[in-house]
Amino acid sequence: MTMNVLELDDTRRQLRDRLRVMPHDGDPRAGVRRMRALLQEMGVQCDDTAELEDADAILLTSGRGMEALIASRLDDDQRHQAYSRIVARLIIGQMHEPIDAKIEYHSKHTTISRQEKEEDAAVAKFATALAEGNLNLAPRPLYEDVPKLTLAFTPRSAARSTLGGMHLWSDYWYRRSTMYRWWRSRKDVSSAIKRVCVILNPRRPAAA
Amino acid sequence: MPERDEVQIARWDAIREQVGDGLRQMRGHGRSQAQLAYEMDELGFHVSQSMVSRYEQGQGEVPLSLERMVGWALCCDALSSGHLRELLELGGYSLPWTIGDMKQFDLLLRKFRSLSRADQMVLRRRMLWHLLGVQPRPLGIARELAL
Repeated sequence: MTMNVLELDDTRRQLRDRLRVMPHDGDPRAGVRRMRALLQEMGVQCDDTAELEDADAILLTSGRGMEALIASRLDDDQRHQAYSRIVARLIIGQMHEPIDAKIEYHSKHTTISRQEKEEDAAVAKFATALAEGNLNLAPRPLYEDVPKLTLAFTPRSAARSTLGGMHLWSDYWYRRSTMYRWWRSRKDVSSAIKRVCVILNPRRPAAA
Repeated sequence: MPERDEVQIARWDAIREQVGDGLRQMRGHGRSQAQLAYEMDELGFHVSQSMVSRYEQGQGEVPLSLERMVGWALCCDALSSGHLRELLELGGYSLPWTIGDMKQFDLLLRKFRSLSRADQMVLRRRMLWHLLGVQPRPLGIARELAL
């Protein structure tokens, strides 16, 4: 039995669509409810009563389904953060067939490979943006459809293609560089990027 | 003890020594019977050290269930071993996973050996459900069923 990769891709796409319209009011309890509802809607079985001692949460995926196990010891803020990490992991993380598990911690933790370390750091940063409702502090490809880097034959398509290249670059470095993540999560940088997006794709600034 | 059919008893009598051999080989030398019994108990199986010993000697009176075979292998990191495949075949059971899939299960178990005991158990309990080919369900219900 193999994990349904298409199903996971579909889950990612739907998660991104829902995240853009998810309200944020600063109440962690409401945030937990929304994140849990979102995950359950995507077919992820959520359990807030896991007797985890060190880990905050576990994401388990297999051909039999996806599960998010959240430690019962967490308070509302920590639980909100743990759910945000699970959502961020589903969007950023690489889940392997036929079964895979990702362990989420509140603080830095020993990881086996450099790739896992980079993934953990990107997930943590994106999860913070999710929990705070500041999606614009993360690269846009993580939460919406963006122009692609393609062959361009007109000034407008060239501008869009350039923008696509920039998004690719941003997404790549967000997953690999601590410095870039720090830089990208600054509000002034985010505003500047937004202005560049509007200049290069004026017809659809929201999704630029 | 629940009433069992004569045919079932006779069949179990015929295979239980072979099953015992397989169970012993799965446990290997690096894990004691007491340790295995403890780990299985934590997973939700009501298996004592003496039961582990009896099963390994082919003296278990009750046929070993699919759940117990898989739980045994899970605790011994022997899901991808030939012994489990032979045992499942002997018992007339099958799992919805290929040999490659089972290797991935074993890899995952080894990878998370560094987790705390409590966290490992949570993960293993849930992996057991996936292994048995059952859709995940809330932990509360799983605990009530007590495997």
